Amino acid sequence: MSASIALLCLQATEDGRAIAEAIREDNEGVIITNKPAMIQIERAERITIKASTVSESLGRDWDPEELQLVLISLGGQIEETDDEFIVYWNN
Amino acid sequence: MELNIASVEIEPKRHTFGNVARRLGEDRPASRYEEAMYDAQPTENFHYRPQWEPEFEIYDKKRTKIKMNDWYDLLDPRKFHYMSYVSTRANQNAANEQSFDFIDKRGLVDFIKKENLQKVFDFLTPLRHYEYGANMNNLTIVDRVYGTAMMSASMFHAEDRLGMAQHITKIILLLSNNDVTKLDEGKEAWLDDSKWQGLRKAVEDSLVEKDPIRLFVKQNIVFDGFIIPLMINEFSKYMANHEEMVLPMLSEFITSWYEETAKWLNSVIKVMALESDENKELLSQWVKEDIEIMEKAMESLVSFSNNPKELIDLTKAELIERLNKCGLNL
Repeated sequence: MSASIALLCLQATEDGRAIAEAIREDNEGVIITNKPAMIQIERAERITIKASTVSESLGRDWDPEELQLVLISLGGQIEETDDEFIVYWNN
Repeated sequence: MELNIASVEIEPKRHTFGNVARRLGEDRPASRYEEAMYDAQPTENFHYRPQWEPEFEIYDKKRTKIKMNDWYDLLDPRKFHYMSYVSTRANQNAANEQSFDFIDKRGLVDFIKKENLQKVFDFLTPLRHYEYGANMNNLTIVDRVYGTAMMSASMFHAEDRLGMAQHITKIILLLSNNDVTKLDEGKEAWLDDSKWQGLRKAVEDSLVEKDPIRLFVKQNIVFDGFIIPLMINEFSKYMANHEEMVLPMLSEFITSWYEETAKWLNSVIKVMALESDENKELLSQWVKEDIEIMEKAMESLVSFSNNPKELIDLTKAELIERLNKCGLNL
């Protein structure tokens, strides 16, 4: 059976784009598709968002809880800490 | 009747401006910072040379001795464009406003000891004029530097400095119960009081510096590298040491602003020094010259402290360490 796909859909805003850039940097093989007003992010098994990378791409301190402000939808289980937000499938 | 709602996806023909896409190497949605900054400055078809300086084009890389292959390498890590700059500063100012209100509402100014209050008037008020000088110097950098990357960041920095002068004014007026003669006395001290004359001379000499990067090093790296740590941070510590917490609360805005701004300053120096050994030598040479000026100018100014020499040496060592980390050779 093929691997489950972890999914994130973000609003295509200034912050959303910066988060997508950070995800591209930290997640090898991630597929990022720009839809109208939305960024669709897909990767087998797991997507990791690192607060440090997003802070750098955004140019200011970014807290993983701010993800909620641009989050449209997600597919997978979630693990959230002060440093990371991870969407993954554990099956 | 059956209603079918179908969505049609229209792929935009391009995701960003052509000049930005060429920079990014692909046509992907760019950040507002990238769109507002990359190649915004014209580069060709200047019909006339400026009458006041016919040896240069209007925008000319030769105005500075620093050589960059690409002036757009000097990016601002804070990614300030108009909106992000304004909203960042507005948030900081709102937080700062609370400190002012808190102190005002509880009448905390009445509890400040007389000698402490006098020290604040003596050592803080004239800095308004220093900040105004910094504002003018940064506007000169905007005027003469090449490339929007440096131009826009320096413009924001120039506005910051005007803001700092206003911020100091607000502090003084709050502490003096809106006594504007305190501001006049500050100006007189800047003009006549012997302890300020070293700094005043340094600032006034810097106003005629023509090379924008030379001026950047002078004002933003070395002058500020002494003034803000000593006259704001150490002065606040001195006040705290003398049972005075109102001033440290009021000047916190400047302290945290400088921490944030240093990220940009360091990154500019780092990129320039990395570009070539000639740049590195030149920058190191300039820093050395200015440190010498400031070391002397600060001697009389740090007289609020019992051991000015030690404080100045410490600040100098910190500045040198910071700049060596950025790749200079001091």
